[in-house]
Amino acid sequence: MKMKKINSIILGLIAVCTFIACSDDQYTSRYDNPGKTTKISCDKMMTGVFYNGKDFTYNAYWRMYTWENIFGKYTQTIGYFNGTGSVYFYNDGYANDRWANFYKTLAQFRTLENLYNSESESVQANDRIFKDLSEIFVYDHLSQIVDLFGAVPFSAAGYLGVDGDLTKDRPVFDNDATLYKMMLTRLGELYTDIQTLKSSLSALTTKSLSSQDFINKGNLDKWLMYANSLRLRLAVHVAAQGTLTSDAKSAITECLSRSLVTTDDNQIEVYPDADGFNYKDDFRNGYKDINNVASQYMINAMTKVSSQKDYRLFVMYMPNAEGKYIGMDRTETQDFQTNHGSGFNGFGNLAFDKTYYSYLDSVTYTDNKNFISPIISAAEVDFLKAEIYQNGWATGNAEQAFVNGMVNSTKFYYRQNKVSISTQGYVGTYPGDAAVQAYAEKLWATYSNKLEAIMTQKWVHFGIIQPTQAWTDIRRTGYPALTYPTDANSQAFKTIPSRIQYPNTEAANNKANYDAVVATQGDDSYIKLFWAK
Amino acid sequence: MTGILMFLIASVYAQDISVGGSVKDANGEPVIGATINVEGTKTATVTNADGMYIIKCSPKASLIINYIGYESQKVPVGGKSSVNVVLKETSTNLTEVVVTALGIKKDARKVGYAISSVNADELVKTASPTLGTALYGKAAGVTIKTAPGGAAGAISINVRGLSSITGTNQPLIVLDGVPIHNGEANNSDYWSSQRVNSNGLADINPEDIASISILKGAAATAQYGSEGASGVVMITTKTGKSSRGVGVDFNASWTGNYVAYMPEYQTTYGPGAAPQSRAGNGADANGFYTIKDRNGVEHKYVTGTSYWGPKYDGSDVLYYDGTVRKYNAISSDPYSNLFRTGFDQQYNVAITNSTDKSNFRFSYTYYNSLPNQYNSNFSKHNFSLTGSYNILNNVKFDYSVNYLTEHIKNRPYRMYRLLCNFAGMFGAFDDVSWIRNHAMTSAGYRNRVYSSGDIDNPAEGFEYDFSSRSGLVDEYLWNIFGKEQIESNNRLIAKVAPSWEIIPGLTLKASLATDFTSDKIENKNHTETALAFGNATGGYQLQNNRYTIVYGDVLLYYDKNLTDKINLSAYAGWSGRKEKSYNLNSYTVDGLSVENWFNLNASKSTPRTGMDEINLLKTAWYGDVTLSYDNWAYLEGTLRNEKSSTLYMDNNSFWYPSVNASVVFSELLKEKKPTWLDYGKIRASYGIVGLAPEIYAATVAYNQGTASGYVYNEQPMAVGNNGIKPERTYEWEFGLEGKFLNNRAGFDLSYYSKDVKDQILRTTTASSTGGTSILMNVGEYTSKGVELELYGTPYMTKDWRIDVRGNIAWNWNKIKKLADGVERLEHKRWDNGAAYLYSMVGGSIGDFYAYAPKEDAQGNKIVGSDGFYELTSEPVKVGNTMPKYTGGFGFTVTYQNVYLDVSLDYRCGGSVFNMPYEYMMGRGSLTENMEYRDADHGGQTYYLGSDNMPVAASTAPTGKTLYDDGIILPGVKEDGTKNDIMISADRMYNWTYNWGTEAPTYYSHSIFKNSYVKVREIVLGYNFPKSIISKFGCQKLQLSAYARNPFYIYKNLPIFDAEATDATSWIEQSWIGGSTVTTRSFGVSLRVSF
Repeated sequence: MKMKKINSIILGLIAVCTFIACSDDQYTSRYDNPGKTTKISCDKMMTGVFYNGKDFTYNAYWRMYTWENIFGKYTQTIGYFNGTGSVYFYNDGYANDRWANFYKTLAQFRTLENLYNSESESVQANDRIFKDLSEIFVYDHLSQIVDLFGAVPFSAAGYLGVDGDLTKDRPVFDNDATLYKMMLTRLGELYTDIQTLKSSLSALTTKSLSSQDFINKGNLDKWLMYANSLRLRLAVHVAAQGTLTSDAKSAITECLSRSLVTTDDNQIEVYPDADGFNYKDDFRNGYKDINNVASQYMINAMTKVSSQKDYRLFVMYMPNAEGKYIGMDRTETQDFQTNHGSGFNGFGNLAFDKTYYSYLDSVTYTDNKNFISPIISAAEVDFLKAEIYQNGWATGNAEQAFVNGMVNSTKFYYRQNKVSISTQGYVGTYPGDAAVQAYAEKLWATYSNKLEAIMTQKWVHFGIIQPTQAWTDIRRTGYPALTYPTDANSQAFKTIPSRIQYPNTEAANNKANYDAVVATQGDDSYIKLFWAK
Repeated sequence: MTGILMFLIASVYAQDISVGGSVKDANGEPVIGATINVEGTKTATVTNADGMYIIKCSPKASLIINYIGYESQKVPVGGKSSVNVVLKETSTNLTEVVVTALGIKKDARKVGYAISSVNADELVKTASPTLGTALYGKAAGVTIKTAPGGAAGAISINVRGLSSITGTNQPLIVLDGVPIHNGEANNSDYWSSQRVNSNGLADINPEDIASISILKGAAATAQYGSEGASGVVMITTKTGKSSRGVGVDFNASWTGNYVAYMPEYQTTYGPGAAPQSRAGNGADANGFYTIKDRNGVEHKYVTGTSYWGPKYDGSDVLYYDGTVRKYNAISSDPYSNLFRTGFDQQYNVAITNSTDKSNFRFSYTYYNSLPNQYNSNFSKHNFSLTGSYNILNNVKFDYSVNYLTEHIKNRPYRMYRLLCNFAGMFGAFDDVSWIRNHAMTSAGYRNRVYSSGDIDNPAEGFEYDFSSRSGLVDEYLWNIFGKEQIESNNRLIAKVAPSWEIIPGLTLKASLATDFTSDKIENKNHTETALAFGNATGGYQLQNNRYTIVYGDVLLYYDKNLTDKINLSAYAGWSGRKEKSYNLNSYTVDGLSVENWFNLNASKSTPRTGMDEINLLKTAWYGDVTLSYDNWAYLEGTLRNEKSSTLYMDNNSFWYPSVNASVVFSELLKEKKPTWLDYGKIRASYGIVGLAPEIYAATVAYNQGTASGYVYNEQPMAVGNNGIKPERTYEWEFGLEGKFLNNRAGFDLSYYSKDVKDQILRTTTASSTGGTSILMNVGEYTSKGVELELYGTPYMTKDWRIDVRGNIAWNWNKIKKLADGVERLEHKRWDNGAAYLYSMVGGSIGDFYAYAPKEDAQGNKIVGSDGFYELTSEPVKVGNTMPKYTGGFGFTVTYQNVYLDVSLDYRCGGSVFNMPYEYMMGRGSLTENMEYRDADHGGQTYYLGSDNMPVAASTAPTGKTLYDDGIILPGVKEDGTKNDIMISADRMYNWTYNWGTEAPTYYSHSIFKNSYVKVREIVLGYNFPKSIISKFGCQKLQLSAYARNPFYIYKNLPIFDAEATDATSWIEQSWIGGSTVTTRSFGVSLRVSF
């Protein structure tokens, strides 16, 4: 009996002792988080690059509501309330969101590069395509950041996840002209590299490409167009002013000889869907309650031909309660706007169903759960060509390019209207190329200044969907020439800024490099970037 | 290990007669370390940690039992093998047994570091549903925060300020020697967690607790290693040991919880636009609007969450319930209509039995709470069985089983959207009772405005859209009435602990324990609108969580008197802990395809599922040597080696030592001891503890996810670091304690200074680096503090007795270093940078930064040309979260069988951001908004000039209205002259208290020093005289009435309870506005012992 009990104690203690026999493996096997992976691949990292940039690729709610709305005001592609004190105000927190999203995307690319560099040559031969496509995407977003901020960290940026050495990984700011030049070069090189890879990829890589690339679904011809059209956009940005005019012009010549986005049905764009890229209500939420009012300047540009309204007008804006197209403009007084705004506009004294102002068409925009988000549209490329020919940077017919731009832009907006499942509002039918061409020719003729024609109609095309692109165009060409009244009540922004200040978090956490860029470029909202007019 | 087994296998030889037994004091508590001498021989032993001894002697011998503070006793053996002794205290003694690390009980005088003890009586006197409330103010340097929401809320404990800047600061909870699962709670924002959750400590039943020891410094906690870096709370449960024969205890309590300390609303002005904004806003000059009802009849009405509208005048207005009401304030306290009075009841029965061989205690507790939140319920059954059985004289089994099963319907919903969002704010003109009763239609859908296209029964609909509808009805009330969260939680904590006294003085102990939690949480979100309208709403979610801890330890304990005066005790041991957690979460997507069918099969789109898994292993070897000399000098040294799976393989094993010494100078003085001194001790200790990172915090790995079938890898922005080594705390502590005047007064004073090096910090990085943070061993931080506890009995007669107690703790901390090139850590950023919480090098943890009025060199606030304060160009320091000092005090007045017990606690300093105040003051709805609002409240008169701006005047020109809410902000104009620009009070409130970073809005005036003195508990009790109750065979019958949180003596924070936060981390405790309603409680309790 006694021995038995002692035995049971011994057994209990032996059970305890099994713990003591913990081998090193028992600790190390528990070190890794079972919910994460340590094995990554170039194809999945490429998707990671795109995925992390998605909120500023799709017309996501946060992008539109917090960020692009500001540029809708700066470019006056939205009609907005002439309050005082904060007309030109932009929020540091939102600027940081834009900034951080780019660097999150770049961090994915650095990890991809690092993985690629560690691979054997034979593996690299197939994996290079993933790196190339990611690089194009990164330059698309880098150029957007550069256009907003000027000099930004790039060459040394994004490596923290790769080497985990903070002292080494605080990046310097690269001069924006240098970055532009680099992008012009690299986008040209990537174009030829993808052309080469196109014929040499293994069947497996081709298959994997189509299942990993949610932008162009593995279609390398479209990637060639994306790279080259992006390069053309960047070249045009810096062709008129600044230190890169000659680099830009030779790039333009080369771009025009290569594959570009030419038709609306084959442009670079992304679509939402219910599972994963679920932006169903997002765009709507970004505009339904605020800033859904038409811009009078946009209406002016679409009613320039006295005999005929621009076909885009019908799918862009709903007429007011009286069937008229009236937008808000910058000369109206606050009281006037209040008395003419309605509940529908989210402000003002009129009843919900009494609209004085036109507003964004609900089928095309605010109820459109299938909203197409353009990356590089055919119309943009046409207008770029028109600008090039008009400025004599290459030989070509500016009017023809302008007309093509109008056709592609009109097609796009009617397509946007058509994909919407909503029927509450105007459901339009594309009037046909001939009708639009005829209108476009009349429109061209009404402008004495053809550059103004090109830039204004391109601005209409960007509209509220790509207002940051429109802002870059306004800053570099001065068109369309808009009125920006002084906001005397504002402490920080009495007039419209020329660039965006670096976010506070960058200034605080990358202080030495920030101080260096302040010493060279400065960090004022009114500094003109090197390509600006 | 083999060595330990050898001891086990060795058998016990019976050379002589072996006598064993227990030595207890008059209270039945074991006396540890009592010397047992065989009379006339040199054979001697000492009692072990359970007060047991074994000695070999002749059957005819006599044993002499000696222990300091007790009268010596001589007992003849008389041939028995069991001799139990009860020692009688000498008159001046106040011996105290404290539970030290690893559950080792020690005489308090031997301990060279501070331990705060709280005993059972103090924990249950107000029938607190959790331990948290009972611990307030009881121990110096231990600050408690319990979340609003009662038993379902979390408890946060901080010992000696913060030990980690960004990591956990919760102490380790040890229940009867076994570390149990506690954890953090409510540290995520409203959007990720909308209910007030609880942590593991909330599961411990106060009725089953005998005492709590709080180990504070590094030397005290060194044997718990990294787990104990933030202190250790050692909980000892009740046993049957002290009962004689069979005992039965019964108690019951009933408590009412009343909504308290919520904002009070002004009842003078109703909703609407301010006079200055009425023109061009659709309101008439008096502030009324017009609206047509559903029959087309035009009415006057008011609307808005802002209360700058017309004065309540009793005129007819159309209300959103469709009736015409008199325009009068409805309630200054809408919160008592949003909530109900809560009611808690608790019943406990405990049966104890004790024999020579064994003892046990069985206890059952039933707790039921009707929470303040409607449509909620909470019930809990707690079973506890503890006991010990002496198999042989020298072999004993201890065991304990605690089983808890609880059912929770709808944990409290956080009020964030009501308190911190304009869309959910209401005021005195909102009929919250009516809204509450009409949030759901009679068919069970969410109610809407009658004219909305998707209301099933327009007759029930709201007459028009009122301003708080979206936050109050669509979110808050629908969440409560339309969504049900049903939790079924089970927890089992069980332990077996054999011990074997191999030879006198050498004991081998072991324990094997588990803490097993299994929770099932179902979310049933009702269909919000009839499916026929084409939109599938509602949802179902099922979560299963399983958490297992398996813990084991072995300890070899040796105790021997080396000479008459020198005693050696030592132990060596090993412990290991495995933790495993699985959470599985499945939910419907895109609504329910069949109304209110709560099943994954009802999912409109493919249901989704997700899982979380955690695996942890921590093991340690440890040893301890204690030497004592002549009952007045003590020296202890410890050493521990720990190995943790949360560290990378090269750094996962680490060592740390501690040493402590104490001198009982009252013993040392012997005959020279002054008569007024009963006891005096001086102590010193030094310890090093290491802290491993939180699980998976250091791990370097990638995310993988899928979006629309595209599988992606992702480099996380919070970057890990395989190079992380344990951080280390080096702590000195000195203490002095004494008892005087026949033990009528005493004190305990401690000073500590700790340096934390290689602190593991999640360092904020510029996102351009490719991460937003990286885990690094970079921080250096020092913390110093003084703790003083005082107690005494200033007045005592035959009938009367007054006992007082008090404590105070100061803590200072300073950040010496962060990562190179990092000057500050950003913990929080509110409202796009309107306010920040930083920790900066050279400062102390938790600085508030916000925009504030600009000041000139003389400290005058500068007023701009618009009459408002000019603000600083960037955020400036406006406070710090760390209190200067905290503490508690209390007293008990006893008159014969009646006693009154009052406990208070206080805090001085330590800022908190009152977020709702920042928004609500801008709405004009609070009583606080009445200042300057009219001439009666200090407002000055003006009329509106041609530019719609105030012109100070005592009479208005014809055609103009004279307003009386003018204010000239104190300060100077830019030219240095005294400000004379008048602005309206409504604009002053509405513009300066608002959301965001745009001037003249600023947040510094909503960041308050959260100083308070709170009456925590008041208990009035009556012990029925023995003479009466003994007739019923009753040993004790006590009746008491109590109040918890009854009132504040002083509170600096406006409109809320100073403790209205529910988080357990200091960072999330830095702001108010995210939790549920706070309460004060009143109750009665009955205790009977047979």
